[in-house]
Amino acid sequence: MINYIAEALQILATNPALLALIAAGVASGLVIGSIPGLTSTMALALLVPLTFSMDFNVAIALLMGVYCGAISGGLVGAIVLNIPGTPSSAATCLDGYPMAAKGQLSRALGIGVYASIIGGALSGLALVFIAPALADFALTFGPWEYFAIIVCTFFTIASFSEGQTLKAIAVALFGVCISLIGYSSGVGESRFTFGISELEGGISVMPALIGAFALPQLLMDTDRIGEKVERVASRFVLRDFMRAFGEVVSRRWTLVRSSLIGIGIGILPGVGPGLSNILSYGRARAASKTPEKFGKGELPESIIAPEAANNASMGGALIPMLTLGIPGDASTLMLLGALTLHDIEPGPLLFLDNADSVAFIFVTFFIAFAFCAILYHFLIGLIIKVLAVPTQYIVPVIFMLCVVGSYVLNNRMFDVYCLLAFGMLGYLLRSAGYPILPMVLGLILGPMAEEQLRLALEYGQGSFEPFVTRPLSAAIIGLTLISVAIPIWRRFRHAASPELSENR
Amino acid sequence: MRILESLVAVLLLAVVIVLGFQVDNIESATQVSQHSAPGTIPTFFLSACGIALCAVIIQAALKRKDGGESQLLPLLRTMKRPRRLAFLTTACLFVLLLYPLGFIVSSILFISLTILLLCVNRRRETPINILVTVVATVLVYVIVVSGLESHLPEFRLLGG
Repeated sequence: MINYIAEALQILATNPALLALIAAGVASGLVIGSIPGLTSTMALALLVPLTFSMDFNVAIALLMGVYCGAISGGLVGAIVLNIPGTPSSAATCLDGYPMAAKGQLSRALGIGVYASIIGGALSGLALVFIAPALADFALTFGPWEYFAIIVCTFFTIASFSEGQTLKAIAVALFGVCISLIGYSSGVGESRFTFGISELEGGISVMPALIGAFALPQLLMDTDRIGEKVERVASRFVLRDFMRAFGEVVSRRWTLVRSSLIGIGIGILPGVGPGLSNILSYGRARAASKTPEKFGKGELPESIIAPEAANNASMGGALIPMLTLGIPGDASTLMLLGALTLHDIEPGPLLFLDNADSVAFIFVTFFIAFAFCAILYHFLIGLIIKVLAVPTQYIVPVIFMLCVVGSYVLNNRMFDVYCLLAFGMLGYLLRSAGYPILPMVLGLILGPMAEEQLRLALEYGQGSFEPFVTRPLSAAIIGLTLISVAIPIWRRFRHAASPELSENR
Repeated sequence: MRILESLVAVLLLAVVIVLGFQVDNIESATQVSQHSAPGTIPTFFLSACGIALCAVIIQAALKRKDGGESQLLPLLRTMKRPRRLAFLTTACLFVLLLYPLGFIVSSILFISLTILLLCVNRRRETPINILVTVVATVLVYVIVVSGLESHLPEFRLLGG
């Protein structure tokens, strides 16, 4: 792998255009991520289809830049407007905004930015060291283990969807059922097409992904139009911003602990930065000698913890995506779609067959964070101004970009209709309290689940027994059952003793 | 919320049942499998999904029995949000008119109409509305057609 990393570095060193693309991706990611309602998932959803005709390295340079920039950018909205730019910065509002409101805007932004970048860089190291080892281990997996991992993924997401466990499982399975439409290599025929020729190739995943995530979000965003936003009045001073670096580095234990939480949560499928920043904030508060000062904008660790964790989740989320083909969160789901568009199939064999591509992803991840560090110093003033762009201009333009992105993939209107249909389905699900991510994950992992189950039945001569007799498969199934049983048991316990629920 | 929850589950279940009726029509061109019929795995997933959706419906019904908030009110409240409804309508029209009107005409109509319907102070925002509409449409067209060398739907309503 070291040779491939050196090769990737050489490609970047001899090709300044690629570096410029990473920088452009980071800059646009920072701007998009800072605007409330425009998440990293949406940024990637808009960009992935447009990279279809690009060379792999060019596409990855741009996408990794946007991915890293958009997650990092979320903190600006949280600190300046008290509205997180992305869900991954929700906990940053708790102390970032109060600190800025006290006239320490530059300090709050500095702490958030430097913690983000250090957290991201640490997760990059975890990615480089853990991913190849996990890929080696995954080579020993048979179809039973793969199928068990996919089932485990669905149940893990469901168990983290508090109060929606059953609904999450149902929509994940619905996604799998929808993925059955079209051609199956297992039977060599198309199924469930109802005579519609456009369905022969199956439902296009990217338009469905874009529609399911973007349209509901844009519809919800229209509620913010005309709302009065409390904006921090203090001026941004670069010197104060840079001085925060010392404060961040001096809290090294908070940094390391939060990064480890972020990496760990990121590796879990379907969870991602949204949970890691809240968990890490809670952990920092529990470990603090002055927990009563949390929420008042007095302590730097109350901003360091959520920001280091949400960026650390990014490297963590890339680990299962690259090694097993199972995305860690919605943004990596988009990246998975991008890799598939470029005929790169994530999984353990990726590290053998396309080690150069993997190394390029690793290197661009680090370089994107380096650009984040540089560009924040120049762009932060501009980003703060961009936050004032009214939502009524953003919403139609973003939807137009979604439509264009879906159309250019195959130059056919059917994909645009798919985008609208999945968008409306996504909105209906969201309005009824169903999580959307499991459905989309089901749609993406459905073909893999079908293929692995078919192989498992073939090799097992029609028997399901190897799923429980093979040690690794049995262990994964056991862990899955535990992950489902714990939240159910907790709920029953709280229902049985109301005082427990009150103390919660 | 719970009536909506059940309605969505029933809708998804209907889709699953429709797919289920197609299972018998699945044929295998390769006939490679000796241990499972071509419809075995789809039946497995469709059944699992059907059971899960039935469980959601039962769970929602049980919760309703326990009492709770008025079921249809949140849905009606959502539908009453005029901006959401306006944007959803213009978005649907944009998708439907994209093919006959082409990208440029339909985008200009969509963006300007949406901004007009969503904005708070219409008179003051008209010049910005026009600017945003034209710049966004032209920029996207140039990037896609010239930059990415791809195609976008052309105007074809009058046989063009």
